[in-house]
Amino acid sequence: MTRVMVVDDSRVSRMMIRNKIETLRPGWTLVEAASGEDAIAQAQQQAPDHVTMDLNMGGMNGFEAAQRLLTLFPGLRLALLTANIQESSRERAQALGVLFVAKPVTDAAVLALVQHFEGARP
Amino acid sequence: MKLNDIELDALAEVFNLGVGQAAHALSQLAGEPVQLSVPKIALLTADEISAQVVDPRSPRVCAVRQGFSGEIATEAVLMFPEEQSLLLVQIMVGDSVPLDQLSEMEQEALAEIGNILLNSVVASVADTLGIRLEGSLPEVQVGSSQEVLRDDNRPSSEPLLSLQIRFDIDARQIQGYLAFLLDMESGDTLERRIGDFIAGVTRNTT
Repeated sequence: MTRVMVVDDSRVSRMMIRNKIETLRPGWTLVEAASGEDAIAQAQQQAPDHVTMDLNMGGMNGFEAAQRLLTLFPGLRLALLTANIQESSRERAQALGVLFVAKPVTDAAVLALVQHFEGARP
Repeated sequence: MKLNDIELDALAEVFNLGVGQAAHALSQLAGEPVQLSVPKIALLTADEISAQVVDPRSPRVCAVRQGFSGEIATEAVLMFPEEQSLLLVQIMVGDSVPLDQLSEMEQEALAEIGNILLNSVVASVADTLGIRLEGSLPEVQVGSSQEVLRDDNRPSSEPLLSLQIRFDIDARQIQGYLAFLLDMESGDTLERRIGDFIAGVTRNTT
């Protein structure tokens, strides 16, 4: 069963992402993490297939958490879903080999994530 | 710092690009067109700014503040009348959050709306000027416009470079302000960057 971890310090954003993914793919299991540290800790137990990651969070930022998760789980498909849409952030995402999707959390944004997770090229 | 006409024009244009991004984000959230004013640029004290944005019908505002730092430091603020905050949250979350949990989550949702809109503008301005800025976490505050614009770390008489943009979602009868405040030092750096931007544009067109 496909397991997706939603990492975002905003509870509302997590709920919106979860709700939209569950609508698109009712069979997927969703796990939530409220920080980069929480994501790393939970990933060890939950072993997610895919991760959506916010960037601007207290403590460990999204880039650092993404890097660590990709080292721990090299097969992971990860997408950044963030309001930090500066060119420098997009370039860093590209260097990490992860998908970059701009917030707000719209149907189209979440569809792009889901398609990326299923292997379609963005 | 004294911006000449061409610098003021360029600064307004650079912020206009950013405001366009924010308008796009807000209209995606609201599902409705969003009207935005051209940026109003002036050197003002925090009290003078609050006098300009206050609406006598609803003197209390809800504000989301976020600091950005790097080559320049700016305080970015999203403000709207307090009574509209729940409506704005409802528009954003749609049916993702059950109604009985909505008011409990109001502050978090507002922080996220502020985060998206303020980052849209700042990212566009930073990219256009070739600088990189780091944002702090958004904070929600409710009070008079004087209270939300006050900063205990700076004297209230200190002049600030202020860029204000008014936004309206006519279909939802929501309006508010985006404001970007820079102290003199950052204002000077911004002025230099704007000078470089103008020089680049001039080079490309001659």
